[in-house]
Amino acid sequence: MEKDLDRVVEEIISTPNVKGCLVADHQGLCLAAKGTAHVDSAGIIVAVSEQACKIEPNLKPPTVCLETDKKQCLIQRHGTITGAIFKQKD
Amino acid sequence: MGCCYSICHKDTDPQENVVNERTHLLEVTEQQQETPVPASSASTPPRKPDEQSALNRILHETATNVIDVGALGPYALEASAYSERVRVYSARVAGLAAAPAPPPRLLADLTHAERASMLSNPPLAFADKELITNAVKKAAAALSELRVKHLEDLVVPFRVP
Repeated sequence: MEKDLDRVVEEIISTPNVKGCLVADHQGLCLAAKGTAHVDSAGIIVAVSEQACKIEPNLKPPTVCLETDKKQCLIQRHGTITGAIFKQKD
Repeated sequence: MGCCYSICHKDTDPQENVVNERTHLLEVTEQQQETPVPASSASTPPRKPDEQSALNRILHETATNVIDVGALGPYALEASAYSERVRVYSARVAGLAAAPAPPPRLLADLTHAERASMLSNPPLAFADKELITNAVKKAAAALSELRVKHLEDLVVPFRVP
């Protein structure tokens, strides 16, 4: 049933430097999470992407990048779902 | 009865001008008290001066009860009092400055230089943008293919006799 989604998540996490991946629906329900991405962060990630869509309504969709010195979190919305990728910096 | 009594005995009252519980709230002129008296009565002397004096008294009382701020003139402060206040106020300001710093905030403001350098940083790498865009697109496509497969009955009879 959700094998396709699992396969996509596996594929994403096998990308170099990617440590975690999360997919959530528009209400903040976690649909898939793998690696360092925690299921509980789904709601916050969706909220961040919603705010970004409000700030940049012309960008479809806006990409949010939260950065620290060593890590990076990329968030993007597509339709009703929001994806997040946790990356280790090069 | 008390009111009538006081009116009737006004002339003989030794405490006429003393304000007490018997004092009238409203000044009643002699003319009104003496009604009914024919207007043409020659025995009634004109009471104009009394009215005038009563009016003057009211004016005087009002003047003593009201503080005319505008007439007080500019507020002058003595030099000693002035320096004393300066000392007190500066002591208070110094006390406020020594107050404990506010607790650290999660999202603190950056200085202008830091902000400028941060905003002038190169934007998100194109590869990263491609990565997240493709990932989300694939996930959305995968989710659109999501179908509920019927595997077993939702309602299971327990064969309860």
